[in-house]
Amino acid sequence: MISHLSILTAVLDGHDDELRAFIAKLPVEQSPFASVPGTHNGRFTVIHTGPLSRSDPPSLRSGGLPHPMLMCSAVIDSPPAEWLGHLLRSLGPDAIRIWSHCAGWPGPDDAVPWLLRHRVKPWLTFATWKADVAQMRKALELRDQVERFAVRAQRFDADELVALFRSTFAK
Amino acid sequence: MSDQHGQASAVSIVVRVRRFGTAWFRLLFFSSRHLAYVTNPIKRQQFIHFCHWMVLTRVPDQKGSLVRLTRPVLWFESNYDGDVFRYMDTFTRIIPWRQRAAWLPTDRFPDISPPGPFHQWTLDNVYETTHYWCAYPNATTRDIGRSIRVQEAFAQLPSPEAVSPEEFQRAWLGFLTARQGDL
Repeated sequence: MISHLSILTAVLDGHDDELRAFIAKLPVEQSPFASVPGTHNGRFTVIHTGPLSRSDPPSLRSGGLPHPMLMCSAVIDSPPAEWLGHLLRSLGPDAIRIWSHCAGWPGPDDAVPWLLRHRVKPWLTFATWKADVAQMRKALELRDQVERFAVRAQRFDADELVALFRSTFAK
Repeated sequence: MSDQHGQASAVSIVVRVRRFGTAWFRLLFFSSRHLAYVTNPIKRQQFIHFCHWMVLTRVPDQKGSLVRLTRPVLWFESNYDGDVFRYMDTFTRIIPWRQRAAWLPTDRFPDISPPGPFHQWTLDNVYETTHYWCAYPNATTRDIGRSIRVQEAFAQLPSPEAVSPEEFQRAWLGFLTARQGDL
């Protein structure tokens, strides 16, 4: 079951630049999201204080967000509490380096219920394919394998085709 | 670029909602959830992995509780292939009225045509993603669809133990013929 998880927290005044700089340095290939099972994608977005629209005149700015915000969002296959527990373990001490810049951070021991209290439910979600991440990866891998096999086996007779198929796919 | 990982891109559009816009979004999103014709053209385009819309009326404050916003805020996030202008222009081309309906109740929306002011409005309201990761960065949305179809057809192939080599070869060639567009 695919779901969209969005956690919105208030960044303490004056902390947004430091928080943004820290998150921006997180490695992409070894992203903390990479080792959390059932994650299709994940992101952190730090929203600065000020106008929601950069072209807004100052008179309209009071209607925007009142202070910097941090959005942590992901598309996931597992229950949110379980997923957040994995994310916190994956982040390790970096979880403190991120959310300690946010108002009300209770420390790592009570982090999961605190994060869940900051969950924002989506009003509308859309997915082109409703397959879980394991199925998607398996399908992508199989397609690559089939392509390579088809090229290799194109001049094979029936017996050779079956032998190669058995050794390649063990079906 | 922190908005990209491989072929996948992330976009966040955060924009204030006009008066009565919340009621508009309730109606629009209700119909989108229940009427397939609203979202089917987007599915057919196969360039969006996932997207979601949130309307915020209250946000966490700096004391750890919630504060009511003077005006609601639409927070839109998408994971897709390509760049943000292609993204918005594709919507404008294939579903202009639905695209218009999605942004109409937002602040200073200039209409989707002409494209210049619409692109500027998009730039004004797009927020850079600070960190983004995707589980299948080398696959486009279209690649995933192709792979799922190949996987489903592959599962229908007979086991080589269950048929003669000649029958298996015929089945294999039939599979290749049927799915050649996905390989």
